[in-house]
Amino acid sequence: MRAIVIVVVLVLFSLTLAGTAYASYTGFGMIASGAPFARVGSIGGPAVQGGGPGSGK
Amino acid sequence: MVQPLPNQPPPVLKELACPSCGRPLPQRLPGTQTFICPSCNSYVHVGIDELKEAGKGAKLPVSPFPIRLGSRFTLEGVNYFVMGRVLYEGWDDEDRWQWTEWLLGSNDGRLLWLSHDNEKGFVLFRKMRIKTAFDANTARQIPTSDGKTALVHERYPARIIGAEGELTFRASAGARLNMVEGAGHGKEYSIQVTASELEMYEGDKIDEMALATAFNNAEWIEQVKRRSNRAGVYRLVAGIAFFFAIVAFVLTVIANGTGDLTLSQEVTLVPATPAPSVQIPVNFPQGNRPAIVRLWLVSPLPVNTFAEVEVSVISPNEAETFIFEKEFWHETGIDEGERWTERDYFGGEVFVPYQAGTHEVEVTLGEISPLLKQDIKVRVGVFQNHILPSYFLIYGVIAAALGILFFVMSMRK
Repeated sequence: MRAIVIVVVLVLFSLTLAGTAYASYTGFGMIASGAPFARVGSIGGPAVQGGGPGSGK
Repeated sequence: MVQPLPNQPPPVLKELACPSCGRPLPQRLPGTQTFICPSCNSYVHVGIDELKEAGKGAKLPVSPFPIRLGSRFTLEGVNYFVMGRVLYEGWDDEDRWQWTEWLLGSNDGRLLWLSHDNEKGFVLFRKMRIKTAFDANTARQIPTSDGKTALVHERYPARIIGAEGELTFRASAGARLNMVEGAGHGKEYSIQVTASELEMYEGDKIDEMALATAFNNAEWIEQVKRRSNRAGVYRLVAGIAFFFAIVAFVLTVIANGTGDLTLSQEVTLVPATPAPSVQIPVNFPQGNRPAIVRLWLVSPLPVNTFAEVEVSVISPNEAETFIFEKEFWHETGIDEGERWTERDYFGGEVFVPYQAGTHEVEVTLGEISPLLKQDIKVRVGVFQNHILPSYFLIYGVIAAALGILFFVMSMRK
């Protein structure tokens, strides 16, 4: 039982550290310039398709 | 040396009866001052020739340990029997906590208190003679039985939540007292102060396994073993968490120094022009790697002025992405008669170029102080192939917090 817990904990910490390293290496979550999903000057995000009075677009 | 004894109650000295409900109250200790009636929960004080009811209390919750009234056990060669139990609650500005004390009679005639709380575990206290003056409100040291002193650790108010059995002091439900606790020379010290008396106790910690073995209670022994194993696992998990936290903090330091300086160029932004901005080409051989844009103000600002500078990046596909805005400022003033000057001439932000190829870093002068007429000189630095330290830092903090959590859990008694 103890061995299983230790292995599970080690695997969890290792996997999350690897994920952290990947995110740090690729800049996950940072401002992405030139990406299809990046903001390009409008206050609307990719979900804002339309406009109209007062929309700010 | 632990020798279990048959579970037989000690002999009855006197048969009394509860003045409230009439239930028999067998007196087993000559010095009993309070009975708690098991039927009606009345606190019954023993007078010279009469019993007096001193209020009713709530029924005491079942003890978390199989230490029952009338139980007998032998610990380190001394026979004990359990006479009474008191559940206390202490508090301070931030917290409330409970602890239990069992009154023990022993075959050598002494009366002891077996105390348990979640932090210290079990402590066997014996009454200590007060040899020197002790001010419970201010004293920082407790005079011990062997002429030394122990340090006071805590001072807090407390109250009796409930009790059972027979007790050797005048107890009543909800009675308030003040506690002073200390430790030193391997002993625990507890001082209980009420309006009418002050009692000092000196105690030794008792291993729960030794106590469970003394009671010859197989189920309790098994519980202690399981808890001990669990504490060991918690300690191990805490150790693993601390190890990963250290690794993450080291990686944070290493990542903080990463990034290849690709561009370092000084630009001049002229306030008088309609849209003062400068575009600097910079090549990113590969996409999806973090880069940092840093700005250093080269030309000092006059006092109490500011200038905002915006940075955008234009990708090879002409898409423009706003990265950040930096406000440089230089302020001065007088605070409590002293003149101060502060300035902020540095800023930076991380971004990730999605595409490979030549980008344009556009530096634009934004809002400035109306009085500011001079050209703004800024050094622009771009670092490629950066590794973000912040994620490692967050990971390290979370891992350290988990380590502390499991370590604390492993220490609970």
